[in-house]
Amino acid sequence: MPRNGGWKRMTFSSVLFLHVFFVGLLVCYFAPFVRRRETKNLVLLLFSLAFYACGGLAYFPLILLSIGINYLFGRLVGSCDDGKRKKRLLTVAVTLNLLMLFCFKYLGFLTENLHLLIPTLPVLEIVLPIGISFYTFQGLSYVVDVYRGDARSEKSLVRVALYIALFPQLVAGPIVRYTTVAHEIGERSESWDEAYAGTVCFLLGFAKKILLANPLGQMADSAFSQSGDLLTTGLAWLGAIAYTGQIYFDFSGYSDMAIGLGRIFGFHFLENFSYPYISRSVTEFWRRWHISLSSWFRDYVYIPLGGNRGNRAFQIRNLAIVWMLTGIWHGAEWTFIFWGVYYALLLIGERYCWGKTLEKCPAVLRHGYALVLVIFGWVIFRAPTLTAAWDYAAAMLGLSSAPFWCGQASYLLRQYWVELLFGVLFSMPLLPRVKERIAEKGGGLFRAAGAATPVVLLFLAGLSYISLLSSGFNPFIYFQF
Amino acid sequence: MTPKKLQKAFLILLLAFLFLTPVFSLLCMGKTEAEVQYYEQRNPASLPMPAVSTLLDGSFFTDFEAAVSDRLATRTAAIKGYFSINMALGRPAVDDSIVNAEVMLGKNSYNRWDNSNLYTQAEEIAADYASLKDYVEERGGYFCYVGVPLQTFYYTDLYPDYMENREWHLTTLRDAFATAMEGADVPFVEMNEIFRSREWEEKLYPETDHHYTYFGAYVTAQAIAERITADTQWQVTIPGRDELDWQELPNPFLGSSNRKLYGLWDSTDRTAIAKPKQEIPFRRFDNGTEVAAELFDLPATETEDVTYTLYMGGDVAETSIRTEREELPDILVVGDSFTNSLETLLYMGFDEMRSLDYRHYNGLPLREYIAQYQPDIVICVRDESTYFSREWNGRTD
Repeated sequence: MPRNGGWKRMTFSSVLFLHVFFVGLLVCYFAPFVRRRETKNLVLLLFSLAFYACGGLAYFPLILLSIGINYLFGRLVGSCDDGKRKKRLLTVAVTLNLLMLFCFKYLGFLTENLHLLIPTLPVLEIVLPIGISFYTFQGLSYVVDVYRGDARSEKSLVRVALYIALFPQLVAGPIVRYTTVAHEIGERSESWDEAYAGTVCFLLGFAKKILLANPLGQMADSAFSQSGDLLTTGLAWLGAIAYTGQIYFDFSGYSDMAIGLGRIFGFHFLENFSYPYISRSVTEFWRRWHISLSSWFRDYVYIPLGGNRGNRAFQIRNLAIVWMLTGIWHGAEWTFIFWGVYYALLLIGERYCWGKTLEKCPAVLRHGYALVLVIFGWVIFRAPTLTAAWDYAAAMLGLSSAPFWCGQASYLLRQYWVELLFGVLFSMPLLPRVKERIAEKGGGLFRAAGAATPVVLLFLAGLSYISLLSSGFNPFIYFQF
Repeated sequence: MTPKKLQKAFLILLLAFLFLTPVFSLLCMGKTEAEVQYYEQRNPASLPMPAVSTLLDGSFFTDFEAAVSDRLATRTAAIKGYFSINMALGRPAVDDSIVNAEVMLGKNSYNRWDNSNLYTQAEEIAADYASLKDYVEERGGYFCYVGVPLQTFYYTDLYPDYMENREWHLTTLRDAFATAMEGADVPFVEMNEIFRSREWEEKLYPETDHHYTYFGAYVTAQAIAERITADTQWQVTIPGRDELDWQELPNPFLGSSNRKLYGLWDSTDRTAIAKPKQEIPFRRFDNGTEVAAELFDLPATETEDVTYTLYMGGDVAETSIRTEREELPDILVVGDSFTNSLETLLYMGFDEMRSLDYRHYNGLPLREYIAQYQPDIVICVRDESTYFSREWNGRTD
């Protein structure tokens, strides 16, 4: 069984979520007798735990354990005045969190590789509990922030539990810092305006996921399932481009849905993506991609390691460590480790070797440079093995024996041209720019745009909904992390 | 309306949709289930009962999701809308059917595989049928295997050039099977060869259904009769075209592929029926019970859609048509829906024609049935996609 294949889950883009879970939550949360903030928090917590439990009760105790550990150590660290003891407590908390992550995410991989060296050693088949990488990192950030004095130790177990288990970001992020929502857990306000803004965000994410990520995913799967003479150069490029679109619209769509849902209930999560594919360097790409993860590693690993201080070798070491960890955070596979190394090399290269030359190049070249490297990065990320990644990249570079073009590539272009076109358009910040222009002009145009927005949204929502009911293909890539 | 009011109205509309859909779904659950059965040609996912194991691994909720999704009041409208949009966008394939061609064809994956083991597999299957043939012959009967192409196998040349038509596989498959049947000395009527042997005056396959047309079934019935006459002492005659009253129904024909697409593909398909000009009286028994002596489930009006269930009223586990002409042989036909149209023609040449469909028939295994019934002729009718299947009608034990 694949390590991430053993669980089921409820997704935001499912009829069960939309018509049963969400409706039930709205009724309970906004019921007239649920007025006190603590009661609302309790309702939200119970629904969040139920949301997690829908993925299977087998690993449900694990999230409770995570909540328990982080609450307890948050209290202990927060109430400790002795610096050394405080540090020891933090070390224990970090160790316990990472141990849990290690056991469920990496132990199977470790035994699999040890088994190759020592065949008598057994291979452990451990199913990855859904969302463990996300809630472990959230729990860690809480205890560390309390240790650093950036956050107050929370007395209420419900509040800590709600922070860790809050369903919008529970299983696929964004990784929300405790300091971002600590205040809102205790004091927040729900309103029609917030609900509207949240709904807009949710529906845009929903449309990204259903209308763009899913079809592009089918296109990518179709190409990545080919090999040998059937994987032509054209098909390989189409598949890689489709996957580049799929992973962005899938993950950013999910993040938008999470942010939107949070906003409906009065939470303001930070943006997780900022049009990464318009970057002009790999360094810029990582400032725009999965911002919550890269900033987590920056604040909790890179800076504590010494960051940009020290000599060049020291900085390179720090970068290498962080990117190895970033790679392996995504999954216990050699492809992810190699993917991390690939980015470490590129980032080190940009910082110390060709970064200055790159800055002098025309913008179009820089865009092309970043995009091509990112696309090759996704090939490593998507391929099941390093050999498969190499073969796929070789086909893209025309180094395989396959011809340049094939019928399948023609079919994919004809079948998915709409998604490719809109995928390219919506990878660029067109909407914000249009909004800006309209706002600048003001007057009638602004009012008309305001009136048209709900209509456009209804159209998008309707289109997404009918696609959801009609297509069985609805995976979420980042659920596997 | 001010923007604020518009935003509020928008939210209320969405909320109403989210809240009311489950209510309406409960109210019209039966209708939605029937639509899933009719158009998607499958049973709706059943509502799961919670069990410790399914709650632990989460499959309860996944199954529940599937069951809810199959019963949503909005389902049929949503799917129709989705298919219409996809067709309007000019996509080559919708719901695994190629819609951007002269006829609706099944979409094949582009994967290739090693064909070399087809010869070994075919020999194994042919050995099974050789054994069955011996069994029938020991009881004084004659056995014959009839292979028919699926519509998508027949129309391989109509695939757009960028779509995979699996010609490379079919050629080997047909050769392997024919060679093996010949090697095992099993009488084999290969309809693909006959269908392609000359220009026919009518279409052998429809645009939107995986079965042959009624004319295709007629050519098959003739080929079977000719083979029996050639191989045995029986003189089996299916009336010639002129001896039959052919009638094309004015109703639109909703073929199986188009039905999956909710009839959205613009088809010119029509169905036909034929009756002998010189009446052949018969009695019909379904699953042992006498039913009305009808061969066609004719529509009540001239406008409603007809499906392939027009012939014999669709699949029946066991059917018997008795013409009480004892000088003619008895025939047992084993096969799936391809035999439905065939039966309405084949009975004309026999004293009794029985048909078994092991997808529905749960009675005696085939050999025991043959031993009890003692038919003069046994034929297995299989489509090319099921040549290597030993399930359902592919069982020879």
